[in-house]
Amino acid sequence: MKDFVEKLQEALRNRHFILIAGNCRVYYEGRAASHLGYGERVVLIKQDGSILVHRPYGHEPVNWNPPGSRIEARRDEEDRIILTSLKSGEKLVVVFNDVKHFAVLNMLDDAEFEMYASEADMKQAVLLEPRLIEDGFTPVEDERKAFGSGRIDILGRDKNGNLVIVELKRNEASVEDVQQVLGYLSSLTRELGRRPRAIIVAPSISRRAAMLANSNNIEFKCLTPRLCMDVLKRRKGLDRFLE
Amino acid sequence: MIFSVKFPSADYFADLMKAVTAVVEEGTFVVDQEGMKLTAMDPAHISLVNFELTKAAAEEYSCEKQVELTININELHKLIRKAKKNEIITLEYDDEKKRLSVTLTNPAASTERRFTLNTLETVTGKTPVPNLSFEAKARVSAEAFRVAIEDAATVSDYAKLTIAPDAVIISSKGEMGSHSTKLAPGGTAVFEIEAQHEVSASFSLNYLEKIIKAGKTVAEESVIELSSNRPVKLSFPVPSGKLEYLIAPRIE
Repeated sequence: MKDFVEKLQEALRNRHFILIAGNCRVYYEGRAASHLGYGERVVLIKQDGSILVHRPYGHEPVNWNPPGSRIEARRDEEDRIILTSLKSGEKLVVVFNDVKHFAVLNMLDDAEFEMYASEADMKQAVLLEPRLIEDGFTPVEDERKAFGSGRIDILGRDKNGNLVIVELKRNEASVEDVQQVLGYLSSLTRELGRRPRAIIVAPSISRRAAMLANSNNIEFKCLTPRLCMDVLKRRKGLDRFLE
Repeated sequence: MIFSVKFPSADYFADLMKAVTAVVEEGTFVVDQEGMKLTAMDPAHISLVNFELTKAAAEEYSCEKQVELTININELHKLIRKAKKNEIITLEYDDEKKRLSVTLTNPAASTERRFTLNTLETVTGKTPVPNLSFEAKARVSAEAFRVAIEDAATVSDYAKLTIAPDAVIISSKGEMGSHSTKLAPGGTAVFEIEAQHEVSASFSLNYLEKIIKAGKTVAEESVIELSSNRPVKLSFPVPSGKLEYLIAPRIE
């Protein structure tokens, strides 16, 4: 255990990711107080100074302290390892009398957690950057009512002045989606006396839907929710003001 | 020792560091013969801080060569936040040990407190700064501005800032109600307005609140520079230095 505690102390100093599996008991004082008797558990100490104690079951840690905790390790007279974590009035103490597994990792993870865009996000991205549809596209109205067949995601104009119906889908466009656009088309043609262009915008289109779209002169434009998310992110922050 | 800097007022320096943490927890200071600088954006790239303290602010200043120093500013602030009014702060950086040493000296009591802080690896490159021009500018009381921002936050999570030729207006609208504060020149709230016409833009109160609270502790005055639906620049005059923030506008 002597060797082990030295390695552990070094890993804590270096702010590395630490995993300890072994037999331990846990005391906690803070928002409440608790004691958990000896049992086999996994303790994770993350690089931001958060600490979690996991039992062999359940998805949540049985005890934890948030990032920025001051974590120290020492060895007592009975050769047990005592981990103490302090964070603004919260104290977590883990006492190991046996360690089965110990790993120290310097992990790099810069990726951002991304939620892929909803159709509403895709619409906002297109409204902010109409070029996503095609060069020269200008949105005119969003959620435009098409009498008797619902609302059109975006109604716009192309560079030649033609009206364009844009229908956005976050998943593969289906036959039903093409039929929906056909509904908008007939409604708008009736209302305006001429047939607008129509574009289905989705990450992909099924073969049957493509055939139906093709035979009805409905265009398909590939646009992924992910790209829309990138656009939104870029357009929300200061980056869009960088020359 | 690559550099050694002594500032006469440790508590003021602590407030400046706190002000930087309104945007970033970790950051890279560039220290050279002229002074120390830091420019950084928050992880979401919504806000930016531009901080500078020139050697004129220091009692003693020596720097051998330009050095980049990445530190956890939150941790640095934790070490020095209990600094007393009459304490002097000395920062020294040892390039070999990659350690910043912070000494708080109280000459009257003859005490010296010394901390060291490990530096972090510099990962990000230079932060690009948007090149902006502004249509309107107002110098206001930082306290009056803070109160207005706090009021706005009671009803919404974003606020509209307006600079008109005759007033600065902070307003917000939420599901339950609305708020508006008008600050006009001639009193203690507005010192100066430069605006040909009315300009306004909306910003997240989350960022506004953090920044105005931080700025208010180091300056009495806040300079608001605004253009319609463009980023706002908030500056807090710091003697021999600079404390400026940018916040990206909310997309309407």
